[in-house]
Amino acid sequence: MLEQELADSDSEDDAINALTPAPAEASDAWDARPGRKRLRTGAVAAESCPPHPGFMHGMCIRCGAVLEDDEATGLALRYIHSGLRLSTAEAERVRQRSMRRVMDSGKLLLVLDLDHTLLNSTRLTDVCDEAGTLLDALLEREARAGAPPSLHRLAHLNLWTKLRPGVRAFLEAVARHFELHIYTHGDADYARAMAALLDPGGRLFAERVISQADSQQQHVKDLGVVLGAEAAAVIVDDTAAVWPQHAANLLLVERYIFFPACAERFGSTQRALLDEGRDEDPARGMLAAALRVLLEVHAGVFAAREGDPARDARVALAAARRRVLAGVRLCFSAVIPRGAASPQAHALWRLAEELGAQVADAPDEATTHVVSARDRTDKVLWARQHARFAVSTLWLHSCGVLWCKPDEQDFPVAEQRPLQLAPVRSEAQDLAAAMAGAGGGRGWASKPL
Amino acid sequence: MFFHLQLEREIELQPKHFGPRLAEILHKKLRTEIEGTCSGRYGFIIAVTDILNTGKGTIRDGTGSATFKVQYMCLVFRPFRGEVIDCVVSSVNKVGFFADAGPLQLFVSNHLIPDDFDFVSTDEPAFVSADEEVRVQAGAEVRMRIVGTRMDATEIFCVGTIKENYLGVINPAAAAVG
Repeated sequence: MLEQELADSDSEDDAINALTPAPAEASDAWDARPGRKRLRTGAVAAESCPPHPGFMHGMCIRCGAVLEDDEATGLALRYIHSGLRLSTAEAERVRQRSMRRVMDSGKLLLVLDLDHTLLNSTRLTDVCDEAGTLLDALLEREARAGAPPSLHRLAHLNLWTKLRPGVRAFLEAVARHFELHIYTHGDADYARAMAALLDPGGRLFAERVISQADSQQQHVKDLGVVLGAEAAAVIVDDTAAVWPQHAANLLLVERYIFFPACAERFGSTQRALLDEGRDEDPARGMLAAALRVLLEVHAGVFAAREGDPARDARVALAAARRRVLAGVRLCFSAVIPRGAASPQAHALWRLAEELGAQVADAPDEATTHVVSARDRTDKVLWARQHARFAVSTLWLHSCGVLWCKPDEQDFPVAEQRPLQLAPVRSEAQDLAAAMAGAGGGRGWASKPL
Repeated sequence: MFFHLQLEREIELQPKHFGPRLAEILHKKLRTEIEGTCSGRYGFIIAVTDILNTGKGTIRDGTGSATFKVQYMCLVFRPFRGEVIDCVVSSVNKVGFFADAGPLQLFVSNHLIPDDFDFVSTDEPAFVSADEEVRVQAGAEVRMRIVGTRMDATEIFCVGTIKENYLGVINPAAAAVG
């Protein structure tokens, strides 16, 4: 009797033999012994293993062979399953396949950041009493209004979360043209909770929620784990420094800073929206601008034929950027120090060219705009005389952020005093602040660089 | 595959339970401690079916608790390489899909899904056959063959295939996963 054998047997192997299904020929073929980690080429579907395409808990996903010990090779895809790793070749295969699949269905990949892009979170403890009262009132007002609330108090995560105005409509609209991914530097619990807030039905993101622990490198986001081909992917993020490899795919957005604690973190002179008692206008805000650009990129990519180098999200994104100030010829006044060695290297000059404007040293017949940091310079006076636009540098910044040409009348050159600019922060400081803010500043990602 | 085994386990009981209901409490404690656990040696212990012998308890020095060597019959579930098993798909992604067979989790990579199945992510992610007749999506019942098992002390994980005759979706309209 089986029970008898088991009770008698001392060694583990005997016990297992007793468990192995009876017919001898079958047990040879399907011998599976627990605890044995010897590499074994299986009788099943061993078409072309090795090389093994990937591993699940150290077990080949094609032939079932178990590795001697967990070799840390290939690409870990922890957001799909904690034990899943793919070999480099397999990851590339999946990437190409998914690009073909997505493009065939008329879509592109879109990778979205959470913090300061789609929403803003802060710890309950970081909210002072005064702000807390305001938030409670807002919470109540939204509950009475009946519409899906934008402010959430997540006691289990110890967080206040404010969704960016219009974010749900934004996601609905882009989901028709893109396959959406979340990629955050918050932890997995946070990412899942936020995905549930943004997409209560779970239709938009499915399993494509990538959090901090899934990245290959600390503080760096990588399209590799997204399994997205670069030619088909657009990234929407507020921090450029986390995407060092993929700047060409990045649509940089203005930070959404609702809570005062977050404004302090970035050291910006701009006050948090809660302090100012206002919120972004969903119709004219950053997300509306981003949506417009994304649709433009989508149309641009699919207007190009198969095999055309323009059938590339990076190319379409750069083209959309160049169209912002197409036909504009501008010159700077009181912006670049006179006699600077290479005025072309100035950030504003580069920005203007990136946006498709022509930049000249001096005003001429074709000049349309004079961008000035001070009023009553020679060039500004020239512009007024010749009925050309004289605008402040803020106008150019707005063009860069909103991807459109805002009304020049709203940006008159500043009187006398130069524009109060935020203290210049290095990219590393900015990155550190963004990291500290990830996941609402719950501390997981906020290790010093 | 299921087995009906006789196993033994030491159960510790506090002195407050020493009374007329001792046997009852002992049995209850055995069930809560053992049912639903996984042993790397025997597989998942599904249910205790019978308690054969509790023996005489031994009082432990110092604590006053008693330990009983309980012999019991139980139903165990242990997957084998080569076994064909029916599962419910729990999630689908571009690399493959996950399925559950009771407590056991299985993964089928897209290498082991027939070549005419394509991954689609519009609406619910699924692998769909070329004629669009068959959908492998969350909630579907699938018959697969196990190609590999990984058994640790507390966990079992399997890799399976549906790329063989008579394998694949057997009931597309299964109840949604809960």
